[in-house]
Amino acid sequence: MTPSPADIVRRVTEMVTRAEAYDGEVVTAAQEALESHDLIRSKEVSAYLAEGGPWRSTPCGLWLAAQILDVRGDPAAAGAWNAVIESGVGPEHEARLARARQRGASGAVPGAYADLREAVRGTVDASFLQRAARLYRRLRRREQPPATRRVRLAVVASSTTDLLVPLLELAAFRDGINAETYVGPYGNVRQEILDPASGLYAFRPDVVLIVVHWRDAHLPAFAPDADARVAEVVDAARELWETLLSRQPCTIIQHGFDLPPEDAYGNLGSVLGGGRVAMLRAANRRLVDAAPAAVAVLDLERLGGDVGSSAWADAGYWHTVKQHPAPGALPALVERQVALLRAALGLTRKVLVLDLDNTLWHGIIGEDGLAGIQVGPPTAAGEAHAALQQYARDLKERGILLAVCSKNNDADARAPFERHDGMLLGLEDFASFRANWRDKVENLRDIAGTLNLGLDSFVFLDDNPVERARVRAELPEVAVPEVGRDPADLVAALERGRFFEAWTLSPEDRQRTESYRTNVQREELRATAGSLEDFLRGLNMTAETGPFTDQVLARVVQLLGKTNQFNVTTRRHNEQRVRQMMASDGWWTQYFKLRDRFGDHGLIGVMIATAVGSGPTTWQIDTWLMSCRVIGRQMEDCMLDTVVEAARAAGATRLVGRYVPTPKNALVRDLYQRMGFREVAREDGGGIRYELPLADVTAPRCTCIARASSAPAA
Amino acid sequence: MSALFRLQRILREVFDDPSLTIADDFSMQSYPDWDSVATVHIVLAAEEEFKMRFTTDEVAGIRSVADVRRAVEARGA
Repeated sequence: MTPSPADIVRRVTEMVTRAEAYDGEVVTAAQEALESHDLIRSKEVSAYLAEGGPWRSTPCGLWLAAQILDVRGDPAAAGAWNAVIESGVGPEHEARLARARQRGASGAVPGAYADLREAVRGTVDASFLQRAARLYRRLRRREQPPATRRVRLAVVASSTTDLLVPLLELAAFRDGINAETYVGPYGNVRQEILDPASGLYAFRPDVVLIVVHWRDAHLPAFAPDADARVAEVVDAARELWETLLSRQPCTIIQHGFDLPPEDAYGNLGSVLGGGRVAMLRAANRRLVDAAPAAVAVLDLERLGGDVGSSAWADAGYWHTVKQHPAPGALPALVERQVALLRAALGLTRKVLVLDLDNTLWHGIIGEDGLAGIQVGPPTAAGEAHAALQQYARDLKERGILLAVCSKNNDADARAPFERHDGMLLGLEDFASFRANWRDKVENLRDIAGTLNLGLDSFVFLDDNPVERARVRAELPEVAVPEVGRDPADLVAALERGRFFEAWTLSPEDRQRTESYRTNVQREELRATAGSLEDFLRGLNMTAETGPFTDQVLARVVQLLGKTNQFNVTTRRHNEQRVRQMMASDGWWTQYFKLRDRFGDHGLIGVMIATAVGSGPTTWQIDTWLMSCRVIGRQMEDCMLDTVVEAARAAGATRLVGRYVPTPKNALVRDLYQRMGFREVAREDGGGIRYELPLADVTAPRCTCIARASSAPAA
Repeated sequence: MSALFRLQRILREVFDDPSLTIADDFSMQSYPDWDSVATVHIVLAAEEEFKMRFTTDEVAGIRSVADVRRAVEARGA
């Protein structure tokens, strides 16, 4: 006898109410029972679905109700998914993705984007991310995503990009980047770059991702003329970069070569110079050496090792659909690509804020005392925390600022740094130190204020899930890596987000902590000096200025790429473009370095100007940017004096400037006014044009900085 | 749980249609949105769902739900 609809619904209700915890298998089985009997839209089911109905009071029932409402296309699904997410039962990322889909379908696209971003944060599951990426594409067709940055990203690839590019767009979206993508025809890497009429150039990309792998080197398993073969491979890549950069100002993310998982020569393939693996490794080394500043080589050799060669490559997917690497390896690859994309856009994080108890050491200093906490040998936990300290110190060495934010008495918090033998970090390693009993959100805001940096350049590491959740909720722009209970995982948790991936490393990066620390000493001088003028004079500042040279180029390009606040036009000229300016008589370029009695700030200012119109009478400021480290030091006055002198010397009578507003440069909104310019026009989009007749300038503005021009290049 | 029902869940998701109902004869021919990219997504999701690998021949031969189901059931799903 066939069971009646009422019987089936009763049985399903028993299934979902019997399970005390969420069980995905139970929910799916219940849904299948209803669907196989065609009961989804029946009145029997409707009665149970209602809010306050019997299903809604159990974990499995909540999920079942939401899923059935989705299948019915019922707008009540929204409320059902809200209930699931509020209850906290089941996999939250799945519930968020389901609600994002539901919201998207009902037209609530901003809410859908918010859910989607939450759903993919910290998730690495490849098939889940593919589903999320498909939803992202559908949402994007309806409405632009919220983003702090937009980028035109072109992908040219020797393998299928159907699985890769959606994941890349999704990861960029997660990080606040709205990536508009262009994908060249499959396999046409060279054609797209060499043909000036290709779709690639029509797209005018900001960033080009060149996706190649070991097969594209066309190297035999063994070659007697290994050196020449490797040189050919590297020359071919270099030719492509040069062609691309000469036609389109952009930055390039170039895949280095991965290593093939199989090798008929076995170990010999990598130890003999003529072996394929040996040649690929040599090619990778030389690619990096040959790469100009506009090109970053992504180390696939290392990534393949991280993923594991058996998981990295999948011959089946290559032969059937030309997918390489394996679909399961794509999330790891995309994380690396997006980290470099963030670096290219100047979105690299700059500050690591550390908790103390059970983060930098094992135990609670205020309770366990100096003898009770563990850091360094002999305990395993102590060694794990010391490993985090070593990692943090390495970050500091390459220019990442460290700060402490801890709920402790200040004296307790400082004691281990001063007196515990196992500590690798000292108080002098921190640019800011906040140990008190205030809310961490307030302390983080304070630290940002002290360092003059945005919270969106912060990473906050804390073992306490409550503090993490609070910071995430209150300060969503701060990156808060999820960490488990085991201190051995702290370094990996921090590493996973690839927050500090940088395009280049300049000497200024390595001095940064020193510079911020000496700022604190300067603050002390400020407190004792009478007037601001006295304080600035007491600093004994000297600025070195000069036209761009090869020596300063990397730093200039870095500042152009990442300076957000003190930047009047935010023009992101790349290296290629800057070189053109250096080679041309039509451009005046100037770098500014600053040092004072407490230390050297390095290269902190960039100015570019050009004569406009016929004749040299009007000079226009193309770029005027300065590092926030030296705000309030008359440095901007010094920069203006410099350009005024140069313009006069060239016969100009008028200086014009433009302010282009961005979400981040309100700091310089009234810069031109303060400097004596007068407003001449307001543009659509908020830009303002200013001018300064040079006859109005009777004396230098800057009174506290001595200026020294750089010696002409030998 | 039947293989067909699990495949239906996969196809609903791939084609973004929560109400989609499928049978064996649901195919690339009968459903125009089903292109070669969709096939890759279906294969990938089915491999994950059924914890199995399709052979190259099977992937190349996929035109309909019946083809996918046959491959899945050949592994005892």
